[in-house]
Amino acid sequence: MSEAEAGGGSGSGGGKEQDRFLPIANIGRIMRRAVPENGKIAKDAKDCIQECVSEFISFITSEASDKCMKERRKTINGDDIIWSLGTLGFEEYVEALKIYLKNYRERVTQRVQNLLIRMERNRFYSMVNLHHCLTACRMEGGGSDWHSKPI
Amino acid sequence: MDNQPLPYSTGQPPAPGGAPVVPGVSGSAGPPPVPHHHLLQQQQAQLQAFWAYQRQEAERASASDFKNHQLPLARIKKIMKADEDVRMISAEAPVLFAKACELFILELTIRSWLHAEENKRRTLQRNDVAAAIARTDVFDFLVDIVPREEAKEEPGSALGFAASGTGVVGGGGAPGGAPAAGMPYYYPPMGQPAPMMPAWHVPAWDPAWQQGAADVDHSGSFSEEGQAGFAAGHGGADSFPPAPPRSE
Repeated sequence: MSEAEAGGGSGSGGGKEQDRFLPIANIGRIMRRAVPENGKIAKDAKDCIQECVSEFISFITSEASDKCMKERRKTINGDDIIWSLGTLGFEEYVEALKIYLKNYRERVTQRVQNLLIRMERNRFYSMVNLHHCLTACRMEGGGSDWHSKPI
Repeated sequence: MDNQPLPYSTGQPPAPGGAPVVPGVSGSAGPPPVPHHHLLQQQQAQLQAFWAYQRQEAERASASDFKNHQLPLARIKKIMKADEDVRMISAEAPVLFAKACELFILELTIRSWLHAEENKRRTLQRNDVAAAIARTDVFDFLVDIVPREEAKEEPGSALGFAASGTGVVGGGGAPGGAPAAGMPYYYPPMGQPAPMMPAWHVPAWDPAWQQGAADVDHSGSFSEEGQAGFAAGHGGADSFPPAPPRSE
């Protein structure tokens, strides 16, 4: 593992090395779930799995990317990843992830719909508000006043 | 997904007898030892239960799960973009990868843990990971990441697997070639009923993936008779293969 960059902050130099890996704390937490209560995990095992996960991502991504190129598509989407997992032998993952992706898409669609409804509602209210203001002005001073007010 | 640990029965360390494999020499007196493929079947069953549970969990994924991930999406995206051929990535791809990586970590850790248990250790070490990689075909792409020399079998270990990792799971027939340790294994011919094994010891690792599985009351479906031999003293795992988690 590379040394942490002195002075914190983002990006260049030593920090860049760590960008190749997912945070070891997160990985350790997930590993903990797979091991009994009284089990221990050596640090070198965590480091090892940290490297393996990055390799896993690269491995699957590469396959998905090839598929997109062959089909002349620019964007890797969830289906490509699921397909790649199946092709590379991770069939067990495919089932769970298909369900997961379906749920995710439904949530996103729902959220977008809700947002659109809200936006439309806001627009409607703004229009109503404007109408009220205009009506109020007309009733108060009469039209001529409004137009001939000295600047 | 949830952060809950997968509950285990409090483990007793495996008995020294472990799951011994007899060198296929004749003249072994006393009760026949556990054939290697029984251990594999058991492990296979545990893994299948794990996958059944993961499928269930995916069904139960709630809205908050998609917002709070176990793994940072930005970092996943960065790793994906390290590949020059990758141009654009849809928003759902890192989300899906977060889940896939979680499954990957869980599976690799489980398999590594099985190896640690076979060697009567309660600490997961790098060589366990190496062994898990060597044994599992799907993890062949990791062979360079974790060199095989790391997966040294400990001298006291009863199970020295062949390094090839082919066909080990499920025990399909005779092993192909001599195992790395040079120890011939005893495989009963296929189709014959397994001998009774009162000395069979179930590893303390209870495949209780489901929450609240402590109250396991479904009867074991372990194919052998003589369950009484191993049920004693063991926490809750009475069922093999373990039943899929019941929804609460």
